Amino acid sequence: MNFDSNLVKGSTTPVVLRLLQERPMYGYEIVKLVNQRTGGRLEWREGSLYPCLHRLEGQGYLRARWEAAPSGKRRKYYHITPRGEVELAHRVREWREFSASLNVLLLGTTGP
Amino acid sequence: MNDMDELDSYVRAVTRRLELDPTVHYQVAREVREHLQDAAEEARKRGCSDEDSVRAALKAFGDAEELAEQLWQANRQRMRLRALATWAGRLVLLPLALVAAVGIGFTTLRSVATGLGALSGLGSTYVPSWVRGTAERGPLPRPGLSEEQLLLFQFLDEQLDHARALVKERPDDPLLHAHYVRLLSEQAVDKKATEQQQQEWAYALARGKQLEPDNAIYNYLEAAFLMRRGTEEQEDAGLPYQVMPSERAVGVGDQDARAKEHRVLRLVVKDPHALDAALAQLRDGLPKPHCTLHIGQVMALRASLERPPRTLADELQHIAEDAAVLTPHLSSLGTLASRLPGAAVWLAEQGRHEEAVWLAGVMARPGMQVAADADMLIELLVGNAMVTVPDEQAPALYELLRMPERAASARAGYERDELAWRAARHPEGDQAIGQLVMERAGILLGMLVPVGTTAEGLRPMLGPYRTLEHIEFERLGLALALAPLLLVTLVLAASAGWALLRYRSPDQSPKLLFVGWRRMASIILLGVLVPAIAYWAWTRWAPWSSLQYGINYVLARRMAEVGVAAAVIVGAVLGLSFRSAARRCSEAGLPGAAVGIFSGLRHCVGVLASACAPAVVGAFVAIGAAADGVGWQGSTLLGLIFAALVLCVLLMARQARGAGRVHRPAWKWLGRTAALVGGAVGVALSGAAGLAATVAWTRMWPERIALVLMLTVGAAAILTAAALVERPARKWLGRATAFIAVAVGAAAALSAAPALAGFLWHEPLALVLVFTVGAAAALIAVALVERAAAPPPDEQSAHARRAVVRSALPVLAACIAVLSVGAGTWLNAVDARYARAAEKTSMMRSDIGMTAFAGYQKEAREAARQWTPPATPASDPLVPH
Repeated sequence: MNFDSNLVKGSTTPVVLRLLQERPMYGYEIVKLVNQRTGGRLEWREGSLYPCLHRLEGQGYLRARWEAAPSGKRRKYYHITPRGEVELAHRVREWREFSASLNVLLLGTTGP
Repeated sequence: MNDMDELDSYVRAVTRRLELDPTVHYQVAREVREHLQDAAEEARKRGCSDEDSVRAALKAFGDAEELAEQLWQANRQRMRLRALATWAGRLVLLPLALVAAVGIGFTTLRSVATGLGALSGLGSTYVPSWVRGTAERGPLPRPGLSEEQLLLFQFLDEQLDHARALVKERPDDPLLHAHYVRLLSEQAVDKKATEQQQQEWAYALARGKQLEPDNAIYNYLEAAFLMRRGTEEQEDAGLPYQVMPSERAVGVGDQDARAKEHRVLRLVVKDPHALDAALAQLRDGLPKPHCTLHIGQVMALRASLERPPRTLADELQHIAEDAAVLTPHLSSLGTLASRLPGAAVWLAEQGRHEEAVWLAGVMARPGMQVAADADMLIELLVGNAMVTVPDEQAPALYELLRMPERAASARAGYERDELAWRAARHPEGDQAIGQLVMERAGILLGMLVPVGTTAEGLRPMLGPYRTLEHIEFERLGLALALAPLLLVTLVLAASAGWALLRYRSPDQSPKLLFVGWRRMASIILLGVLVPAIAYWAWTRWAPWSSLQYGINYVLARRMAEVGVAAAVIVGAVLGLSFRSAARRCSEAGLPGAAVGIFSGLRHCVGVLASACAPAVVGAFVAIGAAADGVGWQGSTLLGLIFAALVLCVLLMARQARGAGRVHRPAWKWLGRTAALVGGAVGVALSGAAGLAATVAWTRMWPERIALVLMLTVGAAAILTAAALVERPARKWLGRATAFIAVAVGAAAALSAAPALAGFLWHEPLALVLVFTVGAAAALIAVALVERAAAPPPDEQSAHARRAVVRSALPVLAACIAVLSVGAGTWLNAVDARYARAAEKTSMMRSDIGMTAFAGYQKEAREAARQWTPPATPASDPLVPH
């Protein structure tokens, strides 16, 4: 299912932060992981990931470094910073409250 | 268009708006390219063709125009800040850096010149004149002084004219008049003085007597003038006298030994009236309580106007200015005292017995008065001579006058006074003070220690002067550390500038990456501060501190301390700077940038090999220095400096070679020759060097053993390194051992040849061996460099190396700035502190220079005060006979 682009846009930042909280990854790895975990339901335009990553790096939420990947090639790995952790927590809290509110309005329930 | 071209075209389209910042553009482009390649690779694995894989990857990535806009928006802030920093750097920092570089370079050059000049005080004369010219300083600036005050500091020939002008303006000032008379006395003693000059002199003396009726100096100067005009000296064969045995008498037959016969100077009286007038002036001056031209007050006035010294050079300037205080009047007084005995003999021969007796009794009095009022050591010494010369002739005079009791009394008095004077000059004997001076005094005090100084009197002076000399030496060490860093930075900057001009495309242009503030701080800490603090603790706090001894006494050790500190700082700064730049470039995705200390082992071998050729250069320089009369230590230092500088240039040439096809080494034909000749020749010649070492050992040259061993160790290290080139160690311990061997070998190779060459200048056989071993080592070095050098780098590696070179520049510049400013400021502060302390204990200043003879002067004052004039002769000397 193709989600509305505005919905996808709004979720890119917290998704990226959440994935990088697990471990440092490079761009293509993030894309693959998202496809894998959502079963292909969340199809990102892969190129849009990089402006997001660069913006988060500029804001200090991520830190980038070229490292050797398992394949032996060097890739640009992104690491979440403590400031990014704080931002992620804020975004998750915000999403809970937002989704809870929408669930009440749209589904008549309080959500998961 | 094939697949890769399509991909490249897409990447260019996506990143085209980032081309304003080549670094950002390169990084983003690479990141995007890697993603697309990974995606295409995944598609190929799923069974797609190459063409379809690429298209699928491009499609999944998104619209190029839209992404270009998004990437631009995401990176514009960063690019804006980077552009601002770049322009700030170009407009502000670059000129500042240029000014700082010129300033630091000039200061470094000056420090080298000053240090070499200081070393030249150790007997070395191998200092080029232009270096001396840089080291020499003009008169100290003295702002805020009036023209009148400035006159006190001039050493020009026009001093007398200025003094005349001062006296005309203020004719009633006794101090200025005394200053004028002192300068005028130089022309007064000139035999070619004109009538006008003689009249001026007579008028000046008369005016002095009016201004200071209690001051006998004007009477005695007039008496000397009249005595000189009216008499001539001639050795008398008729009146012998004896002096006390010399204190250095060692036995019969020694020239200074006992009972040498002396002769009273016979006076040929050309003008008896002039002689009588001179004696009348003498009579008038005898009862006066003072006898001085107020030199001490003039010097005190000058000292009060001087700026406190801030360096050893300032203090030397003050000492030189004090020493330059002219005292030509003392020669007149000395002439007077030397002619009075002859005048007494003449009076006796003329039948003027009473006057002769009177003169014999008073002729030592002027000397007592001069010594009592002496402000400078030279005045005291002349005063003593004015007492001693008449005293030792008085017994003979009384014998001539047939007064044996007075002769015996005069002889006893003379011997008593002479013994007292000798005791004042050598209160502790030569040996104790000699040992102290040799070990603890340093160069300046070792040359200028006043006679008669006790160890207790000398000790307060030792610390400040000795420390000042050590500080000058440390300035040289600072320059030794700064010079190679500056040279390396300049060469790298030139290399980076050339690369910027030659490689303009974003993929090839050398990137400038900031290593980060944390890395920068750690490099400055580890590369500059920690070694500097360790050196400071070693030299200042440790119980074995070499600063307790004079620089000349511990020169070799100080050279080692300063040399090691400089080498550690240079090595640490260069190594850490390149390492951090390489890491930063690697993090930024530049492939091929080397990381790690031991990964460049082949480069270290190249360092060692490269050290051999400049060692030969250093040997030539050392030989030249030795031929010019330089001691082996000085010639070694010079050879080391030149060898180190040549080594830096060679290293940078190798570095630049690795950064791209800059040039082909000029010595490639040498390398081919060396390869043809083979290592066997080098081994044979190294064996000859070992044979020379054995010969030196068996001939028992103990002071050369260290040098010979250095050469042997160096040769062994070279051979070890040669073996390592073929089989580089892989284990960590093996690498560390190899690294240490390389470092030791490099140091030995750099130092052995110049040291041995300078030291063995007079040994022709050894000299031949040095040349041949050096030449063989150079050939081996070239062969090793060619073999150990990496093959011409690929474009990616070359690009990475260019970025490393450019990115290391700001780090090096920061380290140079911190080292120069920090160490320079600290040295200046310590210099000023000890210069002020030295000023207070200055041995050339009148009050302190006299300390050694304070007891003697006190007795002279007491004797002068208690002196009672003998009865004036019944016949007035002014009445002609």
